[in-house]
Formats: sequence, C-alpha cells, structure tokens
Amino acid sequence: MRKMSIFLVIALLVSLLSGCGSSGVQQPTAAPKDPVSTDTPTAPKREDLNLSVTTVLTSIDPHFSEKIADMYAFRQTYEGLYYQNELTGEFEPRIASSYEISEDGKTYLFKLNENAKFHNGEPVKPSDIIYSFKRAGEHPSVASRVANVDSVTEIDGSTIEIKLKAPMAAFMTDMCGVYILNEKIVEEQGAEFGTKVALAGTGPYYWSHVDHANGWTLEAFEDYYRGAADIKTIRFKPISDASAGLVAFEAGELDWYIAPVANWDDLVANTEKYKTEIVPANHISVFVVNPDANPALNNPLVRKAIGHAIDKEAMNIVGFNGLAVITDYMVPVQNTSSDFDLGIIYDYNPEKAKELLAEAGYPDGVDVGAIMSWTGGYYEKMAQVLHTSLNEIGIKCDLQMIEQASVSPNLRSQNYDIATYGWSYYGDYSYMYTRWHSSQKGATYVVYNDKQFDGAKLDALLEAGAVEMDAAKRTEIYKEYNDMFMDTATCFPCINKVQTYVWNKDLKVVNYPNFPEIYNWSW
Amino acid sequence: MINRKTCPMEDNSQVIYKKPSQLKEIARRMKKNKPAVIGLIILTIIILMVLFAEHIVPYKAAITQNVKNRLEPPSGVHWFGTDGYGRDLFARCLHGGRISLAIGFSSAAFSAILGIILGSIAGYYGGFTDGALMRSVDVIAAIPSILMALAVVAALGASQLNLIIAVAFSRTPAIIRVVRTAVLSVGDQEYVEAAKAGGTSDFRIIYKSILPNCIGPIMVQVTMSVAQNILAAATLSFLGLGINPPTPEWGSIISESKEFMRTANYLMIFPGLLIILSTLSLNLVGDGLRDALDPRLKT
Amino acid sequence: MWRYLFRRCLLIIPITLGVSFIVFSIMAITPGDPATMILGIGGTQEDIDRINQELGYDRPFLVRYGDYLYKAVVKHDLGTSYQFKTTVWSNIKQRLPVSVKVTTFSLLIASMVGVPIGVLSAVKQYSLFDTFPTVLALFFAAIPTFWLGMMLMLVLSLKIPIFPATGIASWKGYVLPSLSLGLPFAAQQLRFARSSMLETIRQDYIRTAKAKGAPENIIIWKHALKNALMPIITIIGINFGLILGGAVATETLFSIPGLGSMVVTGIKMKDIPMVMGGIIVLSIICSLIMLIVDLLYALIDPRIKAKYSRGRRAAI
Repeated sequence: MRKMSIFLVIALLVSLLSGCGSSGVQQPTAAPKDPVSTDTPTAPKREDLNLSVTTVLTSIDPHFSEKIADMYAFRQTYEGLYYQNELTGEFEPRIASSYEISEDGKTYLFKLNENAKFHNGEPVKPSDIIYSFKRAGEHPSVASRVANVDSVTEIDGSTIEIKLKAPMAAFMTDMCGVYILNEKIVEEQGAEFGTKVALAGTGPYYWSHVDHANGWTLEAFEDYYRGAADIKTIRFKPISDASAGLVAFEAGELDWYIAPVANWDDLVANTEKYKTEIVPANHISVFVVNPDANPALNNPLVRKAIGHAIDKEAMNIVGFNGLAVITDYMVPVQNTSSDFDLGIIYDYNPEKAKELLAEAGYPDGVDVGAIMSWTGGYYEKMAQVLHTSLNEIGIKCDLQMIEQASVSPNLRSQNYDIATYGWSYYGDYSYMYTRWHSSQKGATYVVYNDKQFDGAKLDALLEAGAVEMDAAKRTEIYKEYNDMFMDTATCFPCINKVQTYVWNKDLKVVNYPNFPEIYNWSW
Repeated sequence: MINRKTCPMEDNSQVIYKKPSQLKEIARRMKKNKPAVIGLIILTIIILMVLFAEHIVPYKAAITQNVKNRLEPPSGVHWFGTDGYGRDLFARCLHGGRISLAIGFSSAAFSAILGIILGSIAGYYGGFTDGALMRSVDVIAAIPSILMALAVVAALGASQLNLIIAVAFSRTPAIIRVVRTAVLSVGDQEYVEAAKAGGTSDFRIIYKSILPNCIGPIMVQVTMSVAQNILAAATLSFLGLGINPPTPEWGSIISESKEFMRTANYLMIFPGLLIILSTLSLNLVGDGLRDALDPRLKT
Repeated sequence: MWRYLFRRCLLIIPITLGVSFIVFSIMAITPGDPATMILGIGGTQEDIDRINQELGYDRPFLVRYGDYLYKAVVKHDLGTSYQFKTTVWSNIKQRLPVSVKVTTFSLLIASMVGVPIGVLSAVKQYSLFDTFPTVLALFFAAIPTFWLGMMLMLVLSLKIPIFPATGIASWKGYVLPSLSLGLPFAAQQLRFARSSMLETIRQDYIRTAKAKGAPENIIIWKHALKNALMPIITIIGINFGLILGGAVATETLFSIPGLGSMVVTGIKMKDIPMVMGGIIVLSIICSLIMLIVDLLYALIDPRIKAKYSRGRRAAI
C-alpha cells in the first residue's frame, strides 16, 4: 500500500512538473505589460505585440484558406503585386512598383520592384508570379480572383504582362488578393505547405512559429524592401469567447482587441488605460428571402411586407449595442466608387407591411416557414428581432438556428425560407457580381427564374457594370441594377458592421475596416 | 447500485409483487430523512411553479421584446431584470424551466424505458444475447457522453425532441447496466424458476415477477439521471447546440448572458441558481430514495 | 491474472471498432459535406464536387468506412484534417497532453479536497465536520461546470485579477479551468469517500481492532482507509475518462486547446477524420484507464486477485 501511494505521489509530481515545464517552453509569454512601469521614462520600449483571433488558425497557405483568423496573419506576411488600402480604396505599389493598362482595358503591364525579396532572401522572379497566379487559379477559395485572367507572361526580367479575358473594372481589387509565393519553397513542401513554417512570402513579417491550436508567431523581416517594421514580434492566440478575450485584454495579455459591443461604454470611459475607435467594416448583413420556398414567399407582396417589417434600429441596438450603421445599400458606402441615390428602400413600417399582407390576400396572417441563422452572435439576434416583428404583423414563422458551417451549404442549395447572412465587400459595387451573378453557382442564394423575375436582365446589368471602365456610366448601370434587384424583394440589406477597436494607450495604431497592417504600428 | 435486500419468497408466481407494505416502509423511511424531504419540497415547488407558469407570468412576457427596456436590473416590475432584448428574465426562467425539466424528465423516462427493456433482456436471457447487448453498451459507454450527444444533435438538428434523444442516448448504457445487475440478482430466485417451470411467458415473468422486485435501484438511477440530464442539456445549449430561440431554456439563457457577464451578471446568476436548485433537490431525493431502499447504508 | 489482463486488452479492440463505426455513421448522416465547409462562401458547384471527390467523400458509406479502417489499422494513418491539412495524429499529439494536464490537475484538486474531507466527515459522523461539508458537497455537485467557470472568471480574473481568463501560457492558466472542473468532482468524491468509509468503519474487523484497544487514528488512517480506497480509486478512474473528453464547455470558455474542443470543432466543420481520430483516442484511453482501475483493485484486494487467477470474469 505504501509503495503504491509513493508511486502515485511521484507520478502526480512528475506530471505536474512536466506540465509546467513544457507549457512554459511551448508558449513563450510576453511579459504582461505593467501599466505603472510605462510611466517611468526609463522603461524599455516594447517590441512585441499580442493579438487574438476568434477561431483556431487553420493554414498558412493563402491560396487554401480565406478564413478571417488566418487572413489577419496573411496580411502581415504575404503581398500581392499591389495593395488596396482599405481606408482610402487607393492602390499602393508592393511587389510591383508601377503598372499600365492598355487601351482596350484587357492588358496590364506590371513593373516589378527590384528590391522585393522573399523571406528566405531570394529576389522575387517573374516565374514566381506566374506560378502564384496559376496556383491561385487551382485553389477554389481564391480562384474567383483570377477567373478573368487569360494569361500571365514574362516580358523581361522585371516586367509581367497579365491579359484578361474581358475588361474588368474590379480586376485591380481582385489582383491585390492574389498573394505571391516562392515557387521553390511551396513545391519543396508540397502537400505540407500551409501546415508548418515556410519562408515563402514577401511581407514585412515572416512566420517563426506555426501551431494551429495554440497560436502563431511572426517576426519582423529585417530585409523588408520598404524598411523593417517597428514591431518585431507578433503573437496570434485563438480566443473563442469574447468576454474571456476582453478579460485577457484588460489583464494586459493582449495589446489590441475587437471589444464585445456590450462592454464598449466601459472601455471608452477608461481613457487613462485604453484608446478606442469605431471603424465601419466592409461588412453588410442582410436578410435573404427564398421566393421558391413556399406559395406565400412566392408572392412579391408578402416579401415586400417582410421588407417593411425589418426593424433595423432594434437590430442595431440588440446586436451591436446601437454602435453599427444602419444601411439600405448592398455595398458599404464608405468603400465604393459607384455611390448613387437609392431608388427602392424598405423602411420599418409595420402598418404598411400589414397593408401589403392584406393586399397579398393574407389579411389574417400567413405562415412563411422559418428564419435560418447561425447560432450565436449578431445574426442570431437579428433573426430573433425579425421573428418578433413578423409575428406582430401576423406573419408566422419559426427560428432555425444552425451551425455556422452549415449556413452556406443550405443557402447554396436553396434550402431555406428566410435567412440572415452577410458578406465583406472588397472594392466596389462590382463585387455584387461575385455574389449574385447566376454563373457564380457557389455564391448565388436566390435563383431568379424567369417566371417572376427577369434574371437575364439582372445578369446582363452585372456583366455590363463589371466591364464598364467609365465611373459615371458604371454608376448608372449599378443604379438600374440596384433598383431592379431591390424590387425583387429577395434581399434586404440591414446593417453595416462596425469594428470596436480597443488598444493599449501606449501603442500607436492605424485602424482599418477589416485587417490591421501592423507594419504601420509602433510602440 | 445493487439492491442487496433479499427478495421475499413466494411460491406463487401469479401474485403481484408490488406489495403496498414495502412501499409504505420506503415512504416511512423517506419521511425520516430530512434532506430528502427538503429536496422533495423544493422539487415540488419548482415543478408546480413551472407547471403553472402560464398563470404566474404569461409566456408572452418571456418572448416579447422591448429594446428600450433592455438590460434592466432586477426590480419590482421585473423581478429578475430584463435581458438583452428587453424580455422579462423571470418569465424566461420560469418558462425555461418547463423546457429544461421536460428535457430532464423525458430523456430520463426515455432512457429508463429503453434501459429496462434492454437491461432485462440481457439479464434474463444471458448467454449470447447478453454478451452482444453488453458489448454494444460498452461501445456506447466508451464514447464521452457529451461528445456523443453533440454529434447526435449535429446529425439530427437542434430541436427539443432531438435534444431529448441525444441526452437519453448517452445516458442509457448506465441504466441498462443497473437493470441487468438487478435482474441478475433476482433472476435465479426460486419463484422465478417456478414460474419458468410453470410455462409462464418470458415477458410475463419479467414484467410481473422480476421487475417489481428490482424497481428500487432502477428508480434511484433514474432519479439521479434526471439531474444529470438537466446539466447535460444545459451544457449542449451553452455550446450552441440547444433549443431554437426564442424558446427559453436555462442553458441557453446562461449562454445568451455570457456577453453581459460584467455589465449585467444577474442574467447568468438567476438561471444558474435555478439549475443548481433543481439538480440539488433531485440529488437529495435520489440519495433519500437510495437510503430508504437500503437502510444498511444509513444510520 | 495474466490471462485476464490479456483478455481485457483484447476486448478493447472490438470496442474501438464499434466506437469507430458508430461515430462514422453519425458523421455520415450529419447534413453538409466537407468541401462546402472548406470553401466557405466562395467556389462553384464544380469545385465542391471536385474537392469532395478528392477527399473520397463521393463514395458509398461502407466503402469510405472500409477505407478509413484499412488506413487506420494497416497503415496506422488516422488521416488528414480537412480544415487544417495537417495529419490528425499531429493534432492529437499536440492536444492530448493539454487535456491530460487539465484532467490531472482537476482530479488532483478533486481528490485532495474531496477524499480527506470525506474521510473526516465519515469519522466525525453527525458532527459539524460532517454536515457542513456534506451540504457544501451537495451544492457543488449540482453546479454546471461551465457556470462555475463563468463565476470563477467573473470573480478571480475580472473583479480580483489573479488568474488569466484564457490560455495555458503558464501554470496560472490551468487554475481556473481545473477548479471549475475539479470542484464538482471533489463534491462527488467527498460523498463517495464518506459513504465508502462509513461502510468500512462499521465492518467487524475495525470493531475488533477498536475493541482490542488499537489507537483510533491508526485504525482509521491505516486499516479503514485502505479498504475504503478501492471504490474511491474506481470513481477517480471513471472521472478521468469523463473529464478528459467531457470538458468541452470549460475548454471553450477558457480557450484551452484540448481534445474535446478539437472534436467539437470537427463536428461543426464536418471534419470527419478529426472527429474520428479524437473520439477513438479518447475511447481507447477510457478503456485503458478502466483496465488499470480494475488491476489496482486486484492489487489492493487479494480476494479479487484470487478470483481473477481462477480465470473468472468479473461482472462489469
């Protein structure tokens, strides 16, 4: 008996010690910032940055993953030929230093920056760019960005020619998202690329530690052609629970955080410790209505009644603590070049909704099925608010909460009645093409069959808008499209999300709508 | 929990063994057990309140949103305050209890029925049937129950019925084992042998002679499992695989309150206390029942 | 004894096969397909079909299951995660130690709090040392672990910032999750230790020892506890299995990269290899631990050892 108890004690001790030891080695902790020490001028300047992401990190292959968590790091480590500034919409040179467009708008000539080099020290060769465009086309999550590219060829050692199948206004935006990878490294790692450290990017930071469950570490690339970054080390740590993340931020474990909206007022008030900023994101959340789901929803008057029953104000309060921006526009107004006056909008008007319902032949109400939403977060809240409003005007429906991952399959296969969803729009109104054109099988959520809609006309307008290079004409086309589209009463834009950034007051940051560029930050 | 009491010997298998004197004896012992009585009283109050919830606060109050009055602290008007949608938390907790307790009890009943049928088959027939059944039970028991329930809910979709199935499915192995052991312990008694010799059908023997004599340990196990089921359902809701909103349920109320942890912590405290109170009282009753059935453990 | 051990080890094989079949079936009827989960909102139907084909997901159910088994058994390959492209085994290797650590710490807390207090309350039955812990234990046994976790986070990392709310960067990170998992189990072990101890104390040989005038302390801590220990070890063993895979809510709350949350993400993302790998490993560990518990039983109690030696199977 005694032997056994000794054995047990030893076993427990060993597991305890090994536990502490190994975890300490695996996860080098940043010395949590002591708020007092920063007041003394002798305190050494920090060079590291601790950030969090809400989901586990999946892959460092920028052609495989477009998950938001991964993109946070991609933005620091990979670059395209150009970079589109999220705030201004301007294109800034990166791997390419300049570009020219041919008369017909189908040929782009990119002059490469001679100083651009990969993290392993090799200069960027035209073959790497050709390889990266080809590889992107083979990877479905980013293939749409190069779908219109006909050919990529090397003109001379420092010039690349990209030929398009048709002129396309949004090409530059799409092209900025095609990250250039080092052909040799990617081919060497083969199927393993994405799962471990690889020096295949050209950005201001390189991967130094890749651990999908615990987090990633990036180090500043000292040879970066625009000059080495001020902040030398960035750690990304997955924290799924927003409240827990905020506690971690307040404890100094994180330096910059997207705060839960419920706690915003407290954080704003605490000016001696934190700085805060609200930045509108590129994200629009919408309700989509499936006109083929049932006879009631097939009736345009019922759909319009639903449109007038959407209480965006209440959704903003419940879902975003009143901080977000209510919108009637499919694309975030702040980042579009085709800004126009809206023709058809759906304001919250329960009386009008009831009238429309009566006009549709359902004065005593009707059952329209279910509102589908993913569990948790603001979508669920928006769905709950709409559920109540619909019931108040006599439209009966259920709420159907499903896993985030199941939402898009259901949308694709038209397996829903009403659904709430949203998209981040990069670039301008032409982004509507990738969401609503009938050729985009993976992205169309409503089938505009000819019985009720002029689907061909909707498609034609999107196509015309995509190739029109003249800004004024584009605006006209998109205005016509938008009116037609809104008249179908199949998709109601509601909220333009905002990012509620909060950060350590000693950190100098530039906040963007979606992804930070930590190269511009410093302590 | 093996019923160590020797079963009363009777030579006539036609006699019904649910003897009132035995139940009376159990009831008498229960009455003496103060914690069990307290538990029973709390449980009865909760069940009564939940059953007559509609007469205390109408369900409408639990789902009517009023964003202007959101996140109000407890007051005379809203006893438990209001949630992020401005809904009355007291009404939500009360009507949520309906769902939580319904899931707890019906999944316990579901797994009890399944467990009694399969357990008595395994215990009564023995041999290959027993072996095959018990190995399947081993298999299901080897899967962590919460993960099993999560997978089942993910496969079937989130609804009240599916939640009951998922929770019951992962709880059944324990009940099968208890029933089997109990059946084994009375299966070779002489009156059972006599009934077999007399040509009584197997079903009748199990139903009339065996089960009434091992109802004790089964009841203890089932009572305890109600409490565990309430916790399991709450955990599923907490992980986002629970009942569809706006239907309130204790676990989902807590899950929704998570973001208001620091600004309105009463939102998570009240439903949490209700879960604790009901599982606590169920455990007390279960303990009391066990002690009453097996007085040797007590005193 | 050795024959028994061998047979018990063999028994793990059919159980694991059964587990794999059940989990594979459940995952197969879960709506959705892996390609859509991988692609998110981008990609066309052709892409989806192609990726599903590459993953072999377009084949009939039994073929897929057979293929999985073949690879797992013959090639020792648990497959590659759909979402990470990393091997399932590398994920498990990374997360299992975390889960084991959390579980061990929780059980340490549970046993160090539960067992001594349980023994004490049995010895001092009906005194304040008995009623107070018993009431407290009843209370803790009724608390949902995730709720306890939230309350601990509220008090110990928000109101009084002592411990971090997330992650396992240092030993401090383990404290709150282990407490929230351990305290309800401590309550359970307290109750168990108490009743098991009560039962032993009442047995004849203890009475005899008392009558012979042996010092009370020695009787209790040496003779009685030794015998009361067996059921306690069983319950610790069972709890180990329960916490290892069942700590999902706590892992999610405290952002701990454990095996349970790996399986849950897998279920949500329809990452079949991850779910399969995770649950199979968990179930094998559970079976092994139950085996160890049985063996410890045999070591402590010669009567049971004798029983095994005669080759009789114990009723589980």
